[in-house]
Amino acid sequence: MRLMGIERSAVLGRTLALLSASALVLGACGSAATPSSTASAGAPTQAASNESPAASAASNACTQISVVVANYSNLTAPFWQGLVKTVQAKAGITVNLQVVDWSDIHQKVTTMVQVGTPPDILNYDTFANFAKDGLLMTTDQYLGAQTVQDFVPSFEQSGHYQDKAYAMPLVASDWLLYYNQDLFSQASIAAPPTTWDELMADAQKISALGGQKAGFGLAFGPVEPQVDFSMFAWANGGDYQTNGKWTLNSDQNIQAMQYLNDLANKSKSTEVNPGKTNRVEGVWPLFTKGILGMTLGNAALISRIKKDNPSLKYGLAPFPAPAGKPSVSLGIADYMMAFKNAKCDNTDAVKKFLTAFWDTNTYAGWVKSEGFLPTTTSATQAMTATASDTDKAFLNVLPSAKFAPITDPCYDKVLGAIKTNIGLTVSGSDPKTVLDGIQSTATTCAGS
Amino acid sequence: MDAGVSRTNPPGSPHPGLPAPGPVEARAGVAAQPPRRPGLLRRVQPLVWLGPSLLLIIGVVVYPAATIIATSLQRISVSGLTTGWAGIQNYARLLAQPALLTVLANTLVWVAVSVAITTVLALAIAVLLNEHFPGRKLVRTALLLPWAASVTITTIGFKWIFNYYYGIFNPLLQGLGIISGPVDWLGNDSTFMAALVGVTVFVSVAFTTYVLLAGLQSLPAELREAAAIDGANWRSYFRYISLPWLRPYLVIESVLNGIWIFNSFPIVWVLNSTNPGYTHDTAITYMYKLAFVTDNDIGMAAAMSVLNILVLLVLVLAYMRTVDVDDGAAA
Repeated sequence: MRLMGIERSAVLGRTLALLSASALVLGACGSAATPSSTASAGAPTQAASNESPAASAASNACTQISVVVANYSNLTAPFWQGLVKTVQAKAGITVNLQVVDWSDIHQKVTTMVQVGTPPDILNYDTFANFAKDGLLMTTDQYLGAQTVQDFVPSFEQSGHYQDKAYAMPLVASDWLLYYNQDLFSQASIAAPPTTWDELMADAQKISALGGQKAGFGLAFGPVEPQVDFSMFAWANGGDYQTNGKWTLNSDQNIQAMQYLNDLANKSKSTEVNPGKTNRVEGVWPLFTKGILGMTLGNAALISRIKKDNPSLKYGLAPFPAPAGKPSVSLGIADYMMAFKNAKCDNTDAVKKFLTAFWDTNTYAGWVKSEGFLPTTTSATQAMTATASDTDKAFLNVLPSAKFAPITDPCYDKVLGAIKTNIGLTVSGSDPKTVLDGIQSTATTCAGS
Repeated sequence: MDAGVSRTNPPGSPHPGLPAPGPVEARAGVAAQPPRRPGLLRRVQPLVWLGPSLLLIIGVVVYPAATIIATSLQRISVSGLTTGWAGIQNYARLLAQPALLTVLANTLVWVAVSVAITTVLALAIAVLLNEHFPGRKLVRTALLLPWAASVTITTIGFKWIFNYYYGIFNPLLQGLGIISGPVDWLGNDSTFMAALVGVTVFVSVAFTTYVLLAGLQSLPAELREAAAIDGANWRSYFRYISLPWLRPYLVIESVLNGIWIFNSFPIVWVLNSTNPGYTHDTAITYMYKLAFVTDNDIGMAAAMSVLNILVLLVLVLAYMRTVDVDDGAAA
């Protein structure tokens, strides 16, 4: 269609082309400004160049800080909003709070860092990459010595990167085997399994009860499979790393995944498609409803059972290990960290907020309500005094719990590869092929 | 402008040597005015009117596109920090990814099948809704409801409908005797694409039906009467009158649907959220996984984004060429 004369369309066309070209150039230049300031710098120089604005801005203290926390349950947001109100009234700073779901928080934080507006305080599951890129303040810059010493030593150590403390352990969980006592008695099983052979036999008996019942609930979908992976691999004597080198495709790991593959496909005693089922929306509700005989769970499952099916008769047992190997428990800690702020000095404001949060009563109250385990000695003592037997079972295992290598900067990529691919080991792929693929992700990252 | 024609008044006329008046001025007897060169203001005027829209397009389309191209040429760390230029490394690594071909194949099959089924279904429903029957207004309104609801919410609804343990789809099919036992629609590799296409068609049919209905309603009544006189039955009428008339409408809706479905994130993301690997990912969800889930590599994901735009451009252009959308060529 001819809407205008040739001359006019040529003029407009040329103008449009000119505008687009300048937009392209501006866009490229705009983002070129960021890399050129860090291009040949490397991490140490980056840290130094970030500290000098803070030092020169010492008189320019932040009056507003942004806090990004993860959403653990529907109790999380009200707690933080209440804390923010208290801190704003007492300390006279403005706090910009965001409560983000675990499924979105990685994308949100990465985007914030990329555009240059990282949060001042962040509740997250890893920190090594932020520390490596020189984005975090060390904890001694904003935490009092008393608070630092209150942390359980093994947890406090887990927040170190290259011998400096960058992150505070926030909440801990450890994992045990939950089993349904009703289903066990229906299947004539006297006691929870202690070896892997017993586990498979018991699971088969329960699946044979019929009516969609399944023996073991395995959550190998892409949201949180690293829990099941860690527990089974470690119980079999395998590990993420050996002597500082990644050994994700070690023989013991492959054996452990093959055991799960047999459990799912040969003896068919897991829920349907375990490689495609997640935990909180998939396996745990099935256990709560009495469809599953056994599953892995942390202390948070207790409150879910209380809410959804209080009449469920369940028990806790140490996680079974192959004959002759010791039982293990996975320790997971989430962390609290503080980012450097290029625009103003946020150390004072951060200190005020975190001191209010780490107050024993505030912290212990929140941890208990969420069903987590505390990372400070004072909170542990406060909670042990009023703990139920089930809570005590989790508290007792905590000091000996094992951690994944989260302080390794390549752990982020390895975890991503595990989350995306490990479900394939029980869904039609060969465990060795899948673990080899994850191992190559680790070695590529470690080598670069 | 008539700057090229220079006629001057002949000698002996009232104003010899001056440019001769044009026809209108001559008839009206108006004294000749020297023709004005079009001023700068006049030339720039179209730009002034188009300015706000141009700014919007540049701000919302051109600038982000430029930024994503720039990002795809940079190296970005896992935490999101830009650490330098990477040249074409991101593209090289992307093209070496083993899952890329599966993902692209999934996308093309999904888009093609969804658009085809949507078009056929919508055509049938549009023809039905074009007839008069009691309750027609009600049906037309009801048809809009699935389209009005957010795609994400609809997809989450379907995710639970298809669930193996709690969904109502399995008991429904078992009750009708179509399947003998429950099926894990989203977990089985063989049934996932069918479930995905089903949900996509569900959210796309409404818009397509309305486009085609608009086309059918614009069909002049004389054609229908002439066809009746010529003794055409509904099959010939449909084939020789309705379909050719609807051709531009069909092209519009298939292109738009194709683009929207290609770019649709929530449908695949929600339905595929429990599946490991990349077996059922499409180009858009694969790009998201590269950026924030598996590789945490924003540079490579930006390269995938550029690749997506190129693939989409090529497909749309090829389609338009094949369908040959020139005003004169139709019928």
